[in-house]
Parts: sequence; structure tokens; C-alpha cells
Amino acid sequence: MSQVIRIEDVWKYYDGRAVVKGISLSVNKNERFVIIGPSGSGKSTMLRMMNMLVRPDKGRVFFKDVELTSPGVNPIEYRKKIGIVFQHYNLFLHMTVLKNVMFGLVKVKGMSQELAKKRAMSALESVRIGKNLWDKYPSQLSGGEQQRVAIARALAMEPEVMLFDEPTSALDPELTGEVLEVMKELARGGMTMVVVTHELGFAASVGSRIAFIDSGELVEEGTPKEVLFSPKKERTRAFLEKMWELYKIEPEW
Amino acid sequence: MPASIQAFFPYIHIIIGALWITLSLSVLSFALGFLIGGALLFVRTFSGKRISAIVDGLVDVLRGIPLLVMLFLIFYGLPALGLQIPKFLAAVLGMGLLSGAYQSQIFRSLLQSVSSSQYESSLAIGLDKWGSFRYVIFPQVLRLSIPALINEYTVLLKDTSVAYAIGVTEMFTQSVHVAQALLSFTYPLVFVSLVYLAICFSLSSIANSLYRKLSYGYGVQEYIGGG
Repeated sequence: MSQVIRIEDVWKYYDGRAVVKGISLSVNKNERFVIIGPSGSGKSTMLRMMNMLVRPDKGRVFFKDVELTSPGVNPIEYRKKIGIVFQHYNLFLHMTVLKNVMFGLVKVKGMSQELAKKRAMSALESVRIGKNLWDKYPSQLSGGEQQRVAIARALAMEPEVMLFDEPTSALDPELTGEVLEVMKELARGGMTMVVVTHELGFAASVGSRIAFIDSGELVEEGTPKEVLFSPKKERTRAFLEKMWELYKIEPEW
Repeated sequence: MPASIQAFFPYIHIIIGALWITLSLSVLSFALGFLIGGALLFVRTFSGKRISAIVDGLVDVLRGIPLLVMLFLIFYGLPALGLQIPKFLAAVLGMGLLSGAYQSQIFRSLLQSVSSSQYESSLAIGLDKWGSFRYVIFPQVLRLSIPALINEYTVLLKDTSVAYAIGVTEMFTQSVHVAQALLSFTYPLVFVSLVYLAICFSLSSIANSLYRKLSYGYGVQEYIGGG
């Protein structure tokens, strides 16, 4: 299996406090690598190291055979091959939906307007954003729609891997479904994905591998079955118990 | 005993004739200020704390200098260093420098309305710092700044009258000349005030009507302009 992303003993400090403490892991082609863990455990920071939005203070990051942390390598060149979707969508607020998706194609890939437009349209269609929304601004869209546009924006660049940073955490519960559905389709299409999420249902059904991260450390890693249903470590078990608790429905009347 | 208004009419064209000097002085110094303000915004966005602090210090120093003092410094002070500058250019320089300080303050306050996540996502898509600034950060800051920039321009327009002190024959200077010829200040000064007022009032109305429109979606409506 060929590796797409590998991080080796990465560390990150903020104000002298370590938030990521020597995590190593690798993501293979076509894999859906799901990262779970409590808030503030360093998951997002670690995800941002994978495309060097956050530069590790120690350790190495590889994209395929290229070491992004090497001083001679400019990570900007590789970011266009690594799509990322943020928790708060982060669409460009001064551009219409269509322009948001075209933007990277034109300015980063140097594509012509017509070709970029064609590509953007098909990306938007693939996430089921209809024509009627293409000329709207992000602030006129629902959260779920904005997040799907954000996915289209990343997809249009034809990345080799997609990173998702809690893509549904900012959404109202009734809107998470439409975003998860699009992500499942991507997974079925064979996209290599790294997903930080609290959606254990998604992790169980879509993930090919799960990593549990707590206070900046990789506690446990394995198949969904191993990690979610028979965790070996006490910390994993404690976290999962709390999470499953949320799914339980026990009427109090 | 003030001169009659009929006696003033023949002189109106002298005052109006200097309007274009007033306008070009204000437009040029606004443009210079815009370049300075934009450059300072760029530096502030991308440099470390130390350089930002130097920029802030520079802006504070500039803002602390009265315009009249600034113009005298440039027009009468620089020749002592062997640098003689024509008065119109001296006025543009002085006003432009001070306006640059004010415009950088405008940009700075609105930079905070453009979330850092906008910068993050433009980097994530593969742009470099300059591309992010040019296509993502600056257009948004600029869009939000337009009303405040229009207001800054109206301030500059009125401040051109200070250039009188170094002998630039702009509109106010000419109205003083007319007053001296008429031996009466009333009509020339009331007239010139009305010209300033007409321009500033229309620009401010435009600025106010743009404000709500331009800040839509940024969550800044609540803080400024009521609503």
C-alpha cells in the first residue's frame, strides 16, 4: 500500500505547553482515516500539520515521498494536492459560491476562466449545490450548504487526499446528514480521507482506520471494530463510554 | 460695512477656478495615504510582533503631529537639509503622510473583522502570503473600509485649506484673496464654506448608505452605525 501522508514524531508547543506530543501515523491511499478524541486534545493541530498550515516544532511530515518539513521544500507547492475542509467552512465571504470554487483553479492552477467555471460547476453538482445557489454569497446559505460548497472548493482542485476538521461540528443536527452523505459518497469513490470528527456513527460505518487521541498523544489505533467496540486502553474506553452515553435514549417519563 | 452681494458675484469664478487645485491636492494626498496605509496593513498582517510594534509606533508619532506643523516641517524644514520642495508637492506629502497614518488605523480596525480563518483557507488552497493578501484579505478589508475611507477623504478635502499657510493657491486661499480685494470676508468665506459643505455632505450620505450594504455578512453591523 502506498502512503499518502506520514507524520513522524511531531510535536507542537503553544506558549511553552505541548499540545501535540510526538505523534506518528501514516495514511495510505484510498484509506478513510478517522481521528477521534476529546476537544482540545490536539486533533485539529495535528491535522493542520499534515498540510503544514501548522509547522511542527519537532518531527517530520511527508506527503508521499516528499518531506514537507525539509528546509528546501516549499509546502505551498503541495497544499494544492491536499484538500482541507474546516469546521467553520471558511468560504471566501466576498465571493459568490461559484467564484469560491473557481478561485483556486484560476489563481493557483492558472486555469482559464471557462475551464475553471466548467470544473467548478461539476464540483458543485457533485455535492448537490443547485444552480440557484451559484451566484449567492456564503452569508446567504445555510451552514450545511456552505460546508458542501467548501467540500466542492477543495474537490475542484483534484486533491490526492482530503482532510476534514470536524466538518459537522458547527452545524445544526438536521444539517449534519447532508454533509455526511456527501462525505460518504467521496469515500465510496475511493478518495483518501483523514477525518477529525465526533460523529462516531460515521467513524464506525465509513472509517477504515481509527485513531484515538487524548492530550496530544496517540492513545490507540486500529480498525473501527477494535477501537470503537473493544478498546484496549482505559482512556479510550472512558472517552467512548461518555460518547455512547449521548446516543442512548432513555426517556425519563 | 460689508460689501454688497452683487459686488461679490464677479469674483465667484476666481474661487471656483481654484476648486480643481483643492480637488487635486485632496485626491493626490488621499492616494498617497492609501498607498501608505495599504503598505502598513500588509506589513502588519505578515510580520512578527516586533515589526508590527514599530509600525504602530510610527503611526502614533504621525498621528500626533498637527497638519500645520507637518506642512511647515516639510516646506520650511527640509530646505535646511538641502531639500527644496515645491509648495504643492510639500502639501501633498504632508497631507498624504498623515492620511496614511489614519488610513492604516482604518484598515487595522477592519482587519480584525476579516477572520484569520480567511487567511488560513487561502493558504490551504495553495496561495502564498502575497496572493492571500491581494485576493482574499485586502479586497475584504477594502470593501469594509469604503465608508470610513470616504469620510477620511472629506476630512482631507477640508484640510486642504491649511495649505494656505504655505502659499498653495487652493480654493480657500483664493477666497481670502477675494475677501482682501472686496475688503469684506463675509460672502467669500460663507461661499467657500458652502462649497466644502456641499461636497462633504454628499460624500457622507453616500458613505452612510454604503455602510450597511458592504458590511453584510461580517457581523459588524451591530457595533457601528446602530441597527
